[in-house]
Order: sequence, then C-alpha cells, then structure tokens
Amino acid sequence: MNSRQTSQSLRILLIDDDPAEFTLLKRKLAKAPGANIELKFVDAIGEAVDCVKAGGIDMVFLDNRLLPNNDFRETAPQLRTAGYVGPIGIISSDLSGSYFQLFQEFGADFRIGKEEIDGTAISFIVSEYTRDQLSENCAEDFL
Amino acid sequence: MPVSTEHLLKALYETLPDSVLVVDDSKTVIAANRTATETFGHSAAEILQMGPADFCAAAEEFDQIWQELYPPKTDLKRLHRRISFRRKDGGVFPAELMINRINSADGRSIGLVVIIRDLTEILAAEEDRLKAEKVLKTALASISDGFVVYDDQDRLVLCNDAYRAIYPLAAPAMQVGATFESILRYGLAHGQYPEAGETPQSREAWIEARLKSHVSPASQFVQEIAPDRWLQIEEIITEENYRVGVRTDVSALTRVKTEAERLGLIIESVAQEVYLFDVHSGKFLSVNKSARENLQYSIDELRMMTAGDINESLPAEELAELFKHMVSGDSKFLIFDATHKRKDGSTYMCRVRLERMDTRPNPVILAFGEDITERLEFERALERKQQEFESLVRSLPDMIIRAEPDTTLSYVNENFARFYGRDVDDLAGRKFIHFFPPDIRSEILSQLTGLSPEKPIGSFERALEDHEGHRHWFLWTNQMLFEDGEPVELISVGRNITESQKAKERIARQSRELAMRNDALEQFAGIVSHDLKAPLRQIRLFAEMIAEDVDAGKTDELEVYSAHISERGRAMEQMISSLLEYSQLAYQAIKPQPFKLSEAVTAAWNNLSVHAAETKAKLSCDTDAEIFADPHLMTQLFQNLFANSIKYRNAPAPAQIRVVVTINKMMTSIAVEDDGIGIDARHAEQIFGVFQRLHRDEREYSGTGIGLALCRRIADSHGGGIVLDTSFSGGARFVISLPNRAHARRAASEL
Repeated sequence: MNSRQTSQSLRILLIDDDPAEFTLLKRKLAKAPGANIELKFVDAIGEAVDCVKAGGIDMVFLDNRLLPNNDFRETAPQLRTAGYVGPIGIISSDLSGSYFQLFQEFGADFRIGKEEIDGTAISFIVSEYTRDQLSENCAEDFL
Repeated sequence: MPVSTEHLLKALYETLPDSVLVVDDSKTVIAANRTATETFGHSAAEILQMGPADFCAAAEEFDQIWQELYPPKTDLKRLHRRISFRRKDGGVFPAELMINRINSADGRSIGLVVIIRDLTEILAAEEDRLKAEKVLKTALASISDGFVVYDDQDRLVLCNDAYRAIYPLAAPAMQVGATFESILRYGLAHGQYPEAGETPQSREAWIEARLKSHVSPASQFVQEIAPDRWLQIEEIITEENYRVGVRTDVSALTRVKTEAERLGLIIESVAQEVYLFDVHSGKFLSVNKSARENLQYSIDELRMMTAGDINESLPAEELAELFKHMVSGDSKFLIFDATHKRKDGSTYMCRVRLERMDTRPNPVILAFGEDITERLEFERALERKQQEFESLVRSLPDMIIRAEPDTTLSYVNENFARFYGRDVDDLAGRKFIHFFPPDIRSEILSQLTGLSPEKPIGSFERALEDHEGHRHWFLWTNQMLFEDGEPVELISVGRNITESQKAKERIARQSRELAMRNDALEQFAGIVSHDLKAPLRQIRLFAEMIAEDVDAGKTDELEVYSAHISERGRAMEQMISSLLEYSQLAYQAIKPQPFKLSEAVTAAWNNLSVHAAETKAKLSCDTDAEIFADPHLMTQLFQNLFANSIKYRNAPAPAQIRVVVTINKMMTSIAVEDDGIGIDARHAEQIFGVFQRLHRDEREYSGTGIGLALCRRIADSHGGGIVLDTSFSGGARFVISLPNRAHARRAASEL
C-alpha cells in the first residue's frame, strides 16, 4: 500500500477503452469531498502495465471489459504480475455477471458499478484503501 | 363156622405176596410161606434146614441185624431195612426187610417174623420213572416254546427254561409250588406285561381277565409281553385238572401280519386305483376302495367282472391283443391310457400300469390306475400356456437365453439367434459368455459368479455387434436360479436399448450444449446489458454535466459533452440495429436444400461488390461441390466472412480471399482464408461472441462485433460449426463444417 499521506496528492490510474469514461470520472473526482486526487488515464492493459511498473500509482480503477480482452479475469492478474500491490477496483456498467463474485481470486480488491461511482463513493474508497500505514492487525481493529 | 383169628392169620400168611419166614431165637427158620419158597426157589423142607443168614446176599449183613436184635431189647420190637437177598439159583434181588419180634405171654422173646418184600419190580419201575422224567426234562429243555404245568391247585409243577426265558421279568417267581396268580403279579410288578396298562385299575382288570382265561381256557390268544414282542398262549386242562400251557413266540409272524395288514390298509385307502385280477380269466380278485368308488361297483360286483368289462376305449379283441404278452408271461409290465366306464355309464381317462405277479398257484396281474382326467386337463392347459408363452417369447423383441451356471446355453430364442446370424439349434451347447467381446468377458463372468441366493439378479449394459457388424446397445438382466444354495441355471434377457442409449447420449449432449448455450446466453445478456447501459449512462451523465455547467455559466466544455452524447446515441442505434439483425438471422428456421456452394459464394461476393472493388479485394473459389443447407443463410455467412477479410486486410495491400472445400464421408469442410492481419489464437473463441470486438478504435475497424457471432449461429443451426484455424499463419482462416445430406436432417433435428 502506498505510504503517501492523505494530505498529499493521491494518484489513481483509470484503465478504460472508452475515453468518455475518463472525462466522467475526472468530473466526479473533482466533486469528491476532501480528496486531493490525481487521475491518470490509459485505454489498454499494456499501457497500464507499463504505468504501474513505473510506480507512483496508489489505486487502480480497471474497466471490466477492456478490448480485446474478455474481462477483468484476464487483465487484473497482469497488473499483479507486473508487481503492482496497491488496491485494484473493477468498474463496470453491469456487475450482474456471476464471475464478479470471484474478483478476489484474480487479484482485485473491490468491484463497483460505474453508475455507483460518485464523490461520496470515491471518498469512502480512498479512505478505506489509502489511510495511514498501519499494521494489518491495527487496520482490522478499525473495522 | 365163624372165621377165627387163627384162620385169618393163616390165610393171610399163605396168601401174602411177600415172603414170610418165622425164625426162632436160635436162628433157625421154623416156618416159611409159599411166597418164600417161590421167591427163593428153595423147597419148604430146604428152607426149614436153613438159617436166615443163608438167604442174605451178604451173610455179614444179616449178622449185623441179628446183633441189633439179640440179646432182645424191650424197646426194639421191629426192624426195617433194605438189603439184598440171594435165591437158590444164585440170583440176587433187592428187598425190603421187616422183622417183628415174637414175644411170649410173659413178654419173653421167643422168635422173629421176617417179611421180605421183593423190590425188583418196584425198583425197576422207579428206574423207568426216573428215566422217563429225565427224558421229559431233556425234551422240554430242547423245545423253543415255553412249557408249563400247574396242578389242580394252580401251583407250578414244572416249566422249561424257554418258559423262564420268555418271561424273564417274572422268572424269579417261577418256583415249583408257586401259584399262577403270584407269578403273574410278580411279573406285572416288574414290567413283564405292558399290555396290562399303567394304572392299578387297568392292571387289576387285566389280571382278572388273564386268570379267567387261565382257569377256563377257551382258545389260543396272543399276548404282548414287550414292545414288538408277542406270544401265542395255548392252555389246556388235563383230566387231573392240571393246566398245561404252551407259549410260542409269534413276534415275527405278528410283525409280518401287522405289516401285511398295514400294507393292505394302505392299498385299500390309497387314492390311486389298485386292481388285482387273474391273468387267464381276467376276473378281478381284489379292487381297492378308490377304484370301487370311482367305478361305483361293490367288491362283490367287481369280483364277477373282468378287466374288459370296465374298459370302454378298447374292444375285447384289442384288449386281448394288448394283454397277450403279459398273459403269456413274455412281458411283465404294461402301461397304457384307457377309458374306464363307471356303473352309471360315465367314463374317465385312466393311466394304467400293469405288472404280472407270478404267484402260485395262479399268476395274477396287479394294476395301478390313475384317473388322469384332471391331469389331462391340466396338461392341456399347460400346453396352451406353453404355446402362449412361446408365442409371447417369440413376439418379444428381447433376446432370451437359458444356460448352465457356466453359461453353456441350453435355450436361445429366435431374436438371439437372428442377432448373431445363426440357427437356434446351432447355439445350444455354446457358451453365452463367448458372445461378448473378449475384453469384457472377465468382468461379465465376475458379475455372474457374484450372483447369490440373496441377490440373484444383476444387470449390465453393453454394446454388441450383430452379424452384419452393426453396433447395438443391450441391457442384460441376468437371473441365477439356485437350489439348496447352489446355482443351477442362468436366465438372461437382453433388451435392445440402442435407441434409448442414443436418446440418453443425445440428451447428455443436448444438456452439455444447453449448459454451454446458457453460459453463452448469460454472457450475451451481460454483454448486451453492459453495452447498452454504458452509452445510456454516459448520455445521462454528460447531460447532467451540461446542465451543471450551464447553471454555473461555464460553456467551454459544452461542445465536448454534446459531442459525447451524439456519439453515444449513434453507437446505441448501431447496436440496436445489429441486435435486430442478429435476432432475425440467428433464430430463423433454416430451410435446407441441395445447391452448389459456388452459388452462395458468388451471391455473397456480389453483395460486397462495391466495397470489394474499392479495396481491390480478390476471391478465389474453384469448386463445384454441392451442399445441403439454407442458401440464404449460407450467403449471409460467407458475406460476413468476406467482409471481415476485406476489413482486416493488410492495408494498403488488397485482400486475397480463397475458398477451399473438402468433402469426406459425413461432413463437408469449407475453409475461407485471407492474407489479412490475422487473429491472435488467444481470441479464437472470443471472437464468436456477440458484440465481441478485438479493436477498440472504430475509426480504424468499424463494426459492432456481431458478424462472427452470426456466422457461428448459422453454422450451428445446420448441425455444423465454424472455428478459427489457429494453425494458420499469414492471415485468418475460418473452417466451416456442414453435415452431408444423409446426416444433415438428423444433425439439425438434434438441435
């Protein structure tokens, strides 16, 4: 997990083959209360792998269906293989597929519908996955 | 003149049969009677010259007697001895000597009167008696019958050893002089007479009856003295009122008699008809109850009849011919079915078994008859059932066999024989197990030997090839029959389940396909849901953003947001159109017909002629193959493939497309290959999904990603398929497989 302080800028990588999603998310992040977020966008998994390898990414929003791949089960493991250990959230317009239940098996930390993403949700996710470094046990005490 | 004592004594003296000598005290014989002279052979004069000792065979013996008499003793007046005397001729004879002293009036002894009784005849008679008694005893001991004599007081006089042996428990009481009743009671008390019963009352009654028959014997009777031991008792009363009894062991006879009586009773009461008739006259000698009742004649009536009188089925001459060899003695047995006529005229069928018995003086024929009316009806019913069963077995489609436990066939039905192209008769004796493939025989044998009285039935399914090599599935149900725990017969029924097996396989295949289709449908629904919801959401969000910016007086990005909305709307329209196209083509009923493949290829190419001309694409198709499919759908399929080849060409080079056809026994393979950019093998299946696109940049490769999904749907609906040949390099190669006409309808119907 990134050790950057919450007062510092938080770098989120959006991986989506539709550039419009970048425009929309950027607008939502701007509304997130108390967040100092820097949104980076790539439209293919290959570029995303290069990006995480370069470092400095605190969180990844990964679009479920990223052409030409089938779904996150093919793409999320590529990020983990690249050495990325930060939180990965699967985002999709439709989460009804039963395979979404398996997100943890494929290296993702959470899943969220694109419809649900707004300022409040982003603030919660950011605080949940990027709070000050604590041991796993201490972190669990807050739950 | 009155008779004086003197005259009487003299007459007695002269007539006495014993010799009388009168001796004085000087040992001189002074008188002898006539018997003395006759007995000793001496004359009276000679006797008077002799002394008494001269008559004795041993003189010292008389001297000894004389010394007892002299000197005279007052207390001894008479002397009685047995000594031997000698006659004049020297003969010696035994005699009884009686000497009486003669005293004078004053009591003085004056002489002796010696009376000599010749015992020769008496002793001889006694000896004869003793000899006779010995012979009697020997005779009694030698006979096996018990012999006993009771006197007029009913006391035991004698009995032989056999008598004691016959009554061993009463023997201790058999003492001479013991009464019959005491012996009887002793024996009864010691268990000698079981027929007397166990109670005091029954025993007293028995004793009373036995004494009565003993006192007044009437006739012989049999007495049971032990289980399975009987005595015949015969008693007579002698003139002296003695009872002489004879006991004869008649156990063997009684047993024989009892068994004969029992056998007679059995024969009399047995349900089977039994006749005994004379060989020569044919007249009935005896007929048992069963036969009498069935024939309705009495025994007396039957004894006046012959075997021919009750036989209705055969004329007399034919019956005589039938009996000829039995009458002559050439044959001892004869069995035949006859119709017997009852007294009331009714008849019944009878199976008769005759046996000639060479008894003396006249041989007889013993006949056993069985009324087989019911049996014949039963046999006829059984035969009908058998025919029905045979008919049923013949009409059954199943294969039926019966075999020894080691599978040696004893019966096979027509279906079994026909399946293997054999005659039924050729298969008996062969092993059932040999009709199965060698690789499964041990498994089947193991199952058969595993059958037990507790679990005698087992089944298995196996595919077998008939004599023409056609493969059929059979469900074999095997039942082992057991007797006393040992297997005795195997009955197996094989039911042809080929159709059922095919249906099962078809259902399994369809289930698998259905599962795959469900997965595909789920995926399709997910994709459609995702791809339709995404632009809608974006349109809504961009509209909200425009509204927010307008409210905030910001206008710099309105154009961008508006462009997004327009583009998303256009994409949705295209998707919906594609979906409509897919649903119209993908689920329409196919109308297969034979046509030349080149016709569909040409039609498809013509539909793309403008685009093909623009890109200078080339098609090569040199085939006159005929396929059985829906021409319209196949045209659409080729059009989609050709459009992809043109779209994904290696621009600026024009696309080179080639159609190659391969026809084999069941399927026709059509390969459509190009020299374009190709498709990564990883996406070989993914590309056939609805809205599946490999290229996100529509400016370069436009489309909704529905073309290949339609191709697969069309190929599947014909019972065939389409795959990407991942081994092909230098472009993309799709292989379409279609069933040939003979298999096309079945393949399509299975979908």
